Amino acid sequence: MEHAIQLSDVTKSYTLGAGAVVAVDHVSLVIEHGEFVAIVGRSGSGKTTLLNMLAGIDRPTSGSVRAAGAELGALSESGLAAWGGQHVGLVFQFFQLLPTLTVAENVMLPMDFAKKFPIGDRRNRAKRLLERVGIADQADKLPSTLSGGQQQRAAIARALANDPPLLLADEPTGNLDSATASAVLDLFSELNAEGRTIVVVTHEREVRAIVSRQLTLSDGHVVADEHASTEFSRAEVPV
Amino acid sequence: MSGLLRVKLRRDLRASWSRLTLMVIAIAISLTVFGGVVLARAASTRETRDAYTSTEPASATILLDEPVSTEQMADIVEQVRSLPGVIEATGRTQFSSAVVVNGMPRGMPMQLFAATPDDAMRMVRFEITGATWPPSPNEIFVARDALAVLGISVGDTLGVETPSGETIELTVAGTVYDPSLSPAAQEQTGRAYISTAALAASGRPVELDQLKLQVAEPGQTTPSENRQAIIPVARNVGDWLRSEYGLSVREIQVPPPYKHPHQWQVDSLLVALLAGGLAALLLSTILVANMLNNLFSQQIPQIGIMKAVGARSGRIARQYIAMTIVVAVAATALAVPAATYIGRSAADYFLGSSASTRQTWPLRGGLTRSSSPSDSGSHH
Repeated sequence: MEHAIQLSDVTKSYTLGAGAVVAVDHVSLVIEHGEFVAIVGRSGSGKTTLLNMLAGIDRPTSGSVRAAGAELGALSESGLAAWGGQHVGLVFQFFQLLPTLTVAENVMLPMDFAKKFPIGDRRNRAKRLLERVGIADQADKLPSTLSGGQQQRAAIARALANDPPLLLADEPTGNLDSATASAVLDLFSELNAEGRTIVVVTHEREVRAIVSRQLTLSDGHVVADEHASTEFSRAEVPV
Repeated sequence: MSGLLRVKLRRDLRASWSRLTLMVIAIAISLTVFGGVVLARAASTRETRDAYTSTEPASATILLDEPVSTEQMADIVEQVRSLPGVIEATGRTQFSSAVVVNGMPRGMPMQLFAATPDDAMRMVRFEITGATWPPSPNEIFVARDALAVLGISVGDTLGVETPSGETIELTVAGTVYDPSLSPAAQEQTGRAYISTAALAASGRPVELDQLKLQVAEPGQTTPSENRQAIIPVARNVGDWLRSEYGLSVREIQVPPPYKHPHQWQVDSLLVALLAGGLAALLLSTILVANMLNNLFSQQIPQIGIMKAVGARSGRIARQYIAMTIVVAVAATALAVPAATYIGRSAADYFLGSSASTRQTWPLRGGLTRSSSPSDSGSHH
């Protein structure tokens, strides 16, 4: 059976004034369907770059990324957009809701783009998703009137809009207080329990308690790959 | 564009209304200036040509060294009409004079055009209001735009000096619109039209020194628009005058056919204004480009979000193109009526206020009213 995610010798480098900076350096890894993976590491270790490549937001300098059934390097820009809209749900640290659309409209927007659900069903589906994340009563408000926790819940509802098998989250609790962060992580656990593959980039140590696997990055390399079954013992990963 | 993107567009426009309003105003102002100048140029060129054409201008004017009597000129005209290529001819004269209005001298000179009372006015015509051709021997018709410039009203008495040096007093009996002349204010000269009978009243013999011709190409009955075809016919008439009447020809004028003699003045002014309009357009373009850049810079995160949740670039682009179109349409909607007004006003000014006083647009409508010989006069 195909893996949920497969990276083969992926490198991503940027050219800056001081020269080339290698953000991700020859990383190969496999993530299976239904895994809940945390990517941890210090700032600048390459976590977000790696996640962006999984989401198709960035393209690798070399190597290949295969995710949710597609070889991303073979897709055009519009092909990537269509693939992302159908198969990947994205959650960001700063929520990134569109400020002039209501919460419900923000959730409906990916459905509008993907056209996976009929027009007539989209509002009801958005309301069901908002109920699920606990903010159905905020559906017709603009994002700016919601608290940070409510906005992140709305963003998660938006990520689920097209029922994607893969959820990618970049510091989803980084801008929330601990109680709200805990509630958001619980939500991720529930979604993982439904069989979704989830990859979370995080600094939060609390995540360790709920994920099934933790990848530690340092200077663009995976320096540890720990599974819950091994009690997150440091894996033998060459640097 | 999807329904939600339309909603987003509408709300984004509302959220940025002050910036967009400034943009609309900037574009509208520059478009108004530029459009007004372009419209004025197009209108004045077209209307000037149409109006000038309707005066049945001369293809050529032959200036005699020594003027001839009105009787001899009538004889010449009669015979010239039968010469090859000539389809119409008339004899005229013109002179300049200081002018005294109701006993008060004016600082500006006046150019007077004279034709015989029996001139049929089939060519070199003009429009008379308040009277008919010919004026009585003691009457004068004054160009409409010269009234204000010289402080003259209908009914006033004008004192002018004839070519022979006598001063005659004439009553202003009517006004004239002559599309072949530039505005009096622009030229700082008044224009007036008299019958040679007025000159005869001074007791001296009346003489004419201009023979005006309309020339047609072989087999044609309408005046030629080909200057090269007119020149040999005019030369032939000049030679004929020398050989048949022993007259000395001072000059043969063959202007570009149907080209208004003063169009270049309007063109020069409009080109200068057009340069100003282009500068305004350029400044506005820079301003709008900066504003759009700022506006879209603010939208970059939103563009990223939309792409991240599945929007194709084309759909996103359409939204911002639509926003730009809304601004452009609003600005154009404001600019078009303003530019039209400015263009028409400017054209009115360049055409000697003719359009507004005749209450018609285009000008040709007014001129057709003067097609009857009895309602027309001549000049030059």
